[in-house]
Amino acid sequence: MQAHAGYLINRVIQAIVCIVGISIIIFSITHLIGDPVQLLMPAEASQADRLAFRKALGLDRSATERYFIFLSNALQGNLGESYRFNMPVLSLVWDRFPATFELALAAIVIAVVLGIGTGIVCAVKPQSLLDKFLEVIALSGMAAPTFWVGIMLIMLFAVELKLFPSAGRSGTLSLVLPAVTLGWYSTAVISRMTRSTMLETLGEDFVRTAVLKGAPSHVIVFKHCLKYVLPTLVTIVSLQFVTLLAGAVITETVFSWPGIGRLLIQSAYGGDYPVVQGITLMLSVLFVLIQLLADVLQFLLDPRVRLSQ
Amino acid sequence: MKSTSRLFGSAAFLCLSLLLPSIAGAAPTGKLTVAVPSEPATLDPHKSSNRYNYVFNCNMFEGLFIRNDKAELVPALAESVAISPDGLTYTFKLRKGVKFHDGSAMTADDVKFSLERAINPATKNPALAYIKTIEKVDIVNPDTVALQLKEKDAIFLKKLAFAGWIVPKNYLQSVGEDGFAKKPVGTGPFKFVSRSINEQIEMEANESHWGWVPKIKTLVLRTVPEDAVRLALLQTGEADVVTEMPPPLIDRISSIKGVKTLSHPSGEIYWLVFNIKDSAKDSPLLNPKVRVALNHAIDKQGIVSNVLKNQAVLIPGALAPSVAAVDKNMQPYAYDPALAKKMLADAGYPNGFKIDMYSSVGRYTLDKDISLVIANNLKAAGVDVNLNLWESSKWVGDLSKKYYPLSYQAFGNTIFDPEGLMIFGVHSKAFWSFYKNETVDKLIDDSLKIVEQKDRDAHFQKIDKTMYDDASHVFLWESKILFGLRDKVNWKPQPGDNIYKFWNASLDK
Repeated sequence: MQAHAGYLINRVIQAIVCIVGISIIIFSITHLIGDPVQLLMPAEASQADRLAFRKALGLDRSATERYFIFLSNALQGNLGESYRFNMPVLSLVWDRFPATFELALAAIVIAVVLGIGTGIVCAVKPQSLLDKFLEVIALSGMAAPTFWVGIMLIMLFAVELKLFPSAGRSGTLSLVLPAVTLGWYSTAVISRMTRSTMLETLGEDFVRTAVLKGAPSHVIVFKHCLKYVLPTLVTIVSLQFVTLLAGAVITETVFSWPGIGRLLIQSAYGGDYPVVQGITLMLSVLFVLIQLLADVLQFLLDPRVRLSQ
Repeated sequence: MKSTSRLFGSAAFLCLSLLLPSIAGAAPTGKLTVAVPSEPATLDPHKSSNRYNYVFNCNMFEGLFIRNDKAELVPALAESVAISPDGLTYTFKLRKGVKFHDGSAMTADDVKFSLERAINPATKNPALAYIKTIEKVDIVNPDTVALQLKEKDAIFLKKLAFAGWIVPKNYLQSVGEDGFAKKPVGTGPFKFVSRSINEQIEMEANESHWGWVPKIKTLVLRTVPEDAVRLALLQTGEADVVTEMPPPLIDRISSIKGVKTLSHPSGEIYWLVFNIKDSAKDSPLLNPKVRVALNHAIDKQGIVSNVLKNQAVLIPGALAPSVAAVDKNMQPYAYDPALAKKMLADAGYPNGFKIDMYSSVGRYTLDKDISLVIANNLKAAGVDVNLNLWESSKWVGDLSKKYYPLSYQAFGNTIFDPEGLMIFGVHSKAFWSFYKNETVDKLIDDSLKIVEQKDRDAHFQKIDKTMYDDASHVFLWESKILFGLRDKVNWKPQPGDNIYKFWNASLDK
C-alpha cells in the first residue's frame, strides 16, 4: 500500500511540473504571433489610440510580469477576458464545450468500435487478404488530411447523396459527417495498435495453453486476450480522446461546427491572446489529467505495472 | 378634356399599381439563408469592429442618416437636417412614429443617449474616429436634436451614417451592456431573433418599419468559413446566397444547376505600397522615376484576367470608381517591361536593385498568388525582389514596425468618400500610410473644408493626379465581390461596399 501511495504521489508531482512547464511554453508561443493591438485596432485609429489601447490591455508591462499575472489569475480560475468578445475566456469556452465534447465523444465511439473491431479481425488472421486490405485502409486513414476527408465526405454524402446536412450543428444527423472525419485518424491508430498488441498476446504462453486445453477461439480472443490487451487500449483510447478534443480545429472549421477548435483558430488569427492561452492551457491540463488517470487505471488493471514499482 | 382626365386616370392607376406591391403585398414571406465566412464579435453596434458587424448593423439598426440599399445617403431616423452657416451645428428634425423592435417609441432621449454612448471613450467604440468631432448632443424639443461639433467637418453626415447607430435607452439600461449585446433591439428593417455564436444569427422582418418593410420574412446569416463548404451549402440549397467566393471558383459556381453568380464592386482598392516614409536615405524607392518604372513593370491586366478571373477592375490612381468620381482622362500605367527596364537604367539603376517585399497569406483574396506574380514581374524588370510571405496576423502585427519596403495591401471604403482613404491610408500622419509627400498632405488637409460635392470631386481628382504623377504606389485595381445565388433569389447588393443589406431581397415562389 505504501508503494502504491508513493507511485501515485510521484505521478501527481510529475503532472504538476508538466503543467507549469506547459504554461510557460504556451505563454511564450502566443506572444510570438503578431501584435494584438494592430490586429484589433481599425485602420482609422491613431498612434495615440493604439498606445492607450496597449496600456488598457496591460501589454505595456514586461513579459515576465505578464506571465505571473496570467499564472496567478489562472490559479484562481480566471483565464482573463477576451479582447474581441469582451467576455471572460472561461465562459466563452464553457459555451462551446458541449459542441466539442459531443463531437469528440461521437468520434471516439466510432474509432473504438471500428478500430478495435478491425484490429482484432486483422490479428486473428494476420497476413490474410482481409488483413492486407484493412491495413491499406488504415494507412490511408492516417495519411489522408482531415481537411480533404471532410470536404470529400461533404461532396459525396451531402451534395451528391443528400443524406446529411453539409455543415452546421442541427441535430443528430449533422453530427455524422464531422464525427467520421474527426474519428478517421483515431480509428486507424487504434486499429493498428490493437492488431499489434493482440498479435503479441496471441503468441504468449497462456494463449497456447488455452488452445491446447481446447478453448474455442472466440473465448481465447475475447476472454483471455482482450483482458490482457485492455490496459494498453485504455491508454491509447484515452490519449486519442484528448487528442480529438484538442484536435477538432480543422474538422470544426470545415463543418462550421461551433466548438472550441473554431474559437481557438479564430482567436489565433484575430490576436485574441487570452483566449488562445486559456484554451491551450485548459486542454493541456485536461491532457495531463487524463494521462494521469490512464496511468492510475493501468496501475490498477495491470499487475505488471504494480509489481515493477 | 376627357382624354386628359383618362390619361390622368390611367397614370394614377399606374402609380397605384406600382405602389401596390409595397403596400398590399407587403406581408413578408419566405426564408433567406446567407452563408458568410465570418461573423460579428459582438452585436452591440457601438462596439463594432469588423465588416460582419456592419452586415448585421445595417439590417438591424439605423442612424439619423443612413446609406440605403442603393448606397445613397438618405435621412432615416431624422426627417431632415439644418446645418448652421459655420458648419458647427447640425439640427435634426426627428422622424415621427418610429418604433423600436420592442414596441417603444424612438425619442430624442434615445438619440442623445446613443450618440453620447458612441463617443464615450469608455464604450471603446472602434469607429470613434469617425464621429469624435461631436462635442455635445442637445435635445431642443421632443422632436429635435442638435449636434454641436468641435470643428467643421464637410462630410459629417457621411460619417454619421457609418457610425451613428441609434439604440433604445430604456431597454439598454434595463438589460445592461451584456444583456443588450445578447439580445439587441433597434429600429431597422429586420429584428433580432436569436444567435448562436460561430453558427448563425436569425432575424425576422420588422413589419412595422417606417419606410421599407423587407420582402422576406426570415433572414439567417450562417457563419461558414470554408469556401468549398459554402459552395456545398449553395449546391444543396441549404444556403440561398453565399458571399465572398474565391474568383477561381466562378466557373464551378456557374456550372451548378439552379445557381447563378453575381459580382459587384467592393469599393476596396489594391496597391503595392512603397515605404517612402521610413526608408533609408539611399533607398531607390525615394526616386519617383523608380516608382514610375515599377508601375510599368507589373502586368496588372494579366493578373486581373488570369488570377482574379476578372473579379477586379483596373484603376489608374488610388480612387475606386464605385466610390469616387475618377478623372476620366487618367489611364493606368501601361504594362511595358522594356520601358520599365529603360526607366530604371535612366534613374541610375541599370542593373536593378535589391528589395524586400512583404505579403500576407490569407488576409486578402489570393494575396499569396498575386504577390508571387508581382514579384516575378518585378524580377523581369531587373529588380531583385526577396518576397516574404507571412501568415496574416503576423503580417499585420508587424506592420507597426514599419520596415516593409514593399508590400501588397488593400484599403476599403466605409464612408463613400475618398476622405477615408486619404486621411487614414495616404496622409503621412496616418498609421496605415507609408507615403510622405507634403503637397499631398496639404491637399488632404484642405479637403476637410470643402463642402460642395462637385468641388470635392475635383479636389480629390487633383490629389489622385498628384499621387499618380509621383507614383506614390503601384496602383492596381478595385476588387469585386463574387456571390453565388440560388436562381429563385432576387437581390442586388449596394455598389461600392462590402456590407450586405437584405431588405430588398425577395424569393420567387
